[in-house]
Amino acid sequence: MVKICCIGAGYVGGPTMAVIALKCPDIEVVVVDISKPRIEAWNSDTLPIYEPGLDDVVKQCRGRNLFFSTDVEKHVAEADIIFVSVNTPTKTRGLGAGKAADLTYWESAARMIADVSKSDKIVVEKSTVPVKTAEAIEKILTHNSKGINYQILSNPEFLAEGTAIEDLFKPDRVLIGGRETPEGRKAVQALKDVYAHWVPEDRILTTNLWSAELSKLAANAFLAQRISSVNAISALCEATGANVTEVAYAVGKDTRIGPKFLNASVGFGGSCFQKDILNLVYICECNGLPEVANYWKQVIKINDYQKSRFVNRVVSSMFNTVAGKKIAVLGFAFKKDTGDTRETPAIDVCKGLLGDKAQISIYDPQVTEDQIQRDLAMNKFDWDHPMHLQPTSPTAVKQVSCVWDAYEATKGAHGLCILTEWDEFKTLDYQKIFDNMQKPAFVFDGRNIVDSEKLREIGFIVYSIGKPLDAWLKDMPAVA
Amino acid sequence: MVKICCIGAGYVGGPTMAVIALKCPDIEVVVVDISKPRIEAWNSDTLPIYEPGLDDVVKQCRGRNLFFSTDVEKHVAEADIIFVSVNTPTKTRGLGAGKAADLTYWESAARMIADVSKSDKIVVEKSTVPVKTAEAIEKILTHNSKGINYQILSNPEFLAEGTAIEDLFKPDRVLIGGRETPEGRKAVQVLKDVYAHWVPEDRILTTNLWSAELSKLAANAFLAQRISSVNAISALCEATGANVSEVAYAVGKDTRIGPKFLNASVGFGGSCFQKDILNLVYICECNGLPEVANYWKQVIRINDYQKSRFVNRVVASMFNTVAGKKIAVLGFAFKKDTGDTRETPAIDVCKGLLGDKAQISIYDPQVTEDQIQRDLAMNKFDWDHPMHLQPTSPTAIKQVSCVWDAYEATKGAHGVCILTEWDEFKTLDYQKIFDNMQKPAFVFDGRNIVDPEKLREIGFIVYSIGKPLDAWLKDMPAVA
Repeated sequence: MVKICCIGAGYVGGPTMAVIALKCPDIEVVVVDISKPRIEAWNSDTLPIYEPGLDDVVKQCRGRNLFFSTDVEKHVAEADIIFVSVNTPTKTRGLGAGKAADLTYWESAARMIADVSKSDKIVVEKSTVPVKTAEAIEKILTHNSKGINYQILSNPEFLAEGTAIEDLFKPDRVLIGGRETPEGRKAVQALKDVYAHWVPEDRILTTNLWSAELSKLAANAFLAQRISSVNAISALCEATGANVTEVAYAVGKDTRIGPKFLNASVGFGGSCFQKDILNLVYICECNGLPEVANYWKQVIKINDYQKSRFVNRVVSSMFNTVAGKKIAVLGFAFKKDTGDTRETPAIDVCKGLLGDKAQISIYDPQVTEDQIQRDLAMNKFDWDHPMHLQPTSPTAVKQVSCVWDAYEATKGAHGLCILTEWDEFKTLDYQKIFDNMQKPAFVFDGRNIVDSEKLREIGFIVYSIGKPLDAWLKDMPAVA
Repeated sequence: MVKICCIGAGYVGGPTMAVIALKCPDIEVVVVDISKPRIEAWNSDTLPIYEPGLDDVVKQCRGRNLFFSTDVEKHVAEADIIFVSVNTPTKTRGLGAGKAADLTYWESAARMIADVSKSDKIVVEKSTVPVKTAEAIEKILTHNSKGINYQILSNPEFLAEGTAIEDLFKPDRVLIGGRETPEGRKAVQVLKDVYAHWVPEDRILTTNLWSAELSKLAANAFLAQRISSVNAISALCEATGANVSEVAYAVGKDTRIGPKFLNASVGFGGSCFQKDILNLVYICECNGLPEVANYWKQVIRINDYQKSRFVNRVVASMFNTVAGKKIAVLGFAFKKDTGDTRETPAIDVCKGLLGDKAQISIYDPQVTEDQIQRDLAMNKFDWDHPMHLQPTSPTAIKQVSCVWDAYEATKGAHGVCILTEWDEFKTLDYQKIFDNMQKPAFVFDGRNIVDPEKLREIGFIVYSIGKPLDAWLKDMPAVA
């Protein structure tokens, strides 16, 4: 029986291993983590991660060929294939602060593997790491090897939060990168055989090690760039009276461009896009390519600009003052159908409004109050350290209240910001909402999900990203 | 009988009107231009524009319902629909120099239309113009109207040089923008009925006027950005030992990104990409959006960087000196299957090498020697003035020779630069070429069309964009 051990029971490791276990009944899969509460949660009825379909997959395999354990060393020693799926947070101080990936957890995982191994192993990079990390890991393993042979593979993940299980069942591609030596190719084949249980072979791409690592970063950079590009166009549409939805539709009809990821919004979120671009920028700078680094930095700059622009629009619309005014925020997750708030634009928008002393009332169908309070209290990138190392008991932000109902959030509010495209926000009773708001009543649609004409008929002043501006908004230009 | 008149017999107007005439036998189409030689060429057996399939289309309709004439005023007066397809060169001095479109020709066309019109007309913007030009044109027409009603429509072209006829027969989309008034909508319908003769209605998009104008600029900016993005990645691949073809293939497999326009190269060319992005940048700046302007400028910067990087690689590889050395350039057109050299990267590469005093021998199967000499002598953007206003008899550059055979170009050369992906360059006898070159012999493949392994076996030192570097090249790093 082939044994797989996955170090790291987070968003990447957990779902991936669950799907492997489901699709490969002949393989024993153990997910290990040093976080006892997390492992206990995986073994309970309330999994620590919410993903549609994940519960079902785990319950079919858990106890059969899928196990969750804190006994890291035992299972690493016994494994044939070790996936390393630890966090790679962005550094917050020192060289590369704000850009470079912190490889502390990765390095300690490699050292532990070298310490406990008693047989040859395939070590697979599953988390996102800078190009050439495999070389560094290989050096650590080789210099501590005691005669054991390690093959390092790169197998970056391409999951999208909210559709992780679906992405794992039918991936656009599975990338496997390895050394182009006989041993390297053999290791690649072993991993390929695992995925071939359910993924068509033409979607399993094997490339040299560096190409595989770059492909993940590049793919996410390309996707994020599409969003930033249409967001950049949305600003121009507002300035010229054009309509970004029409422009994006026409652009997307060009089959060389395609229609996906062309929805203008308040900004992209999620743990991957910003982090992968910052990694890419850092790698470019380390390789003496400042022109390329600047190019990719612009994707982040436009994303930040879009969020700032949105906040400025809110404040300037209300006579440049929101101090003491209640502003409702509908949606906190970085996209619908997930409770994930990593890098969500809602954090930046809320902080922007709090900076102007607004009172914020937040409703999101899935994000917990604890999470919201934690997000608004912590500094950027803290979320990417393991949970047990995150700041505990942050002081609750007093200007913020979290409610369990959209109508409660909007009661007595001056303005309403829609920041996540949850389906339920499209079908709210906006007349009822309008009746209970202060006047003039504003809707700031950061996701272009409301019908602005209908809302204007009700009496709202509506701002939709990239759409021709209301007369009121034209007379109150937002100035950064 | 509906009468269409097209002002401007260039790359856009000529082919477009020819296809309309072919597909709409019940419509009389007249293409007019003040350039007598150009009109005479359209009426001869040697058309002034080379496009596959164009000869056949023109000869089927010319004299039947397609005519070419210099009697501009007569045909404008008689027309029901007037397409304005004049050049909009980039300004070379004054406000917006290097970025803004020069609307001199557009404005004079509008004034002439107002002067000679005796009946209501639909005026269609066909050439690329900044957003809101329709407003300016409308003002000119209205203030000179003498009671005649004009409807201004935007109908930007999306042709790609080299596949213009194919693009016109089966367009990804036809965009028609007009005022959202009853008269405006009626005019849009008239133009839509023309295209509906052969274009499925679901591909004919009608949007408000501003969205239509922005869509053309945005579509080209998105396409150019894809090329610059993969070119940016190619620089990183060279620095890290990755392979850009593998990375691009993996990225393109993601259906949200798609596989088109992900070929790394020495840079994009053609009259559209650079010009449309510069227009977009200028419009952003005029609308007080410096962040957005900077974002799109980066697409141009990376393109310039890629060309500079290529030249630096050539010079650095040859001991930092190419003075007096013969360098062969294979391919001058901005892409294969065309004689079009507008904004071709070959111009910048050749000028870079000439700046270092190299002797250049150029072969291109379709570009004329006159064109090459003219391109290398003139300043940027001069090509976008009508031919009869371009500088005449530029001094031939002594360091440049144009030959009619690849083997002649490479004889006695130190290096070969492949700058256009002509099919014939893939099947040259490289052993024969190698035997007749100075040693060490270099191939710099700016289009990734040669097999570097085979060439290395022959004895060449090969540089391919975005591929792992030859040992020789690694030891001679290019420094910008």
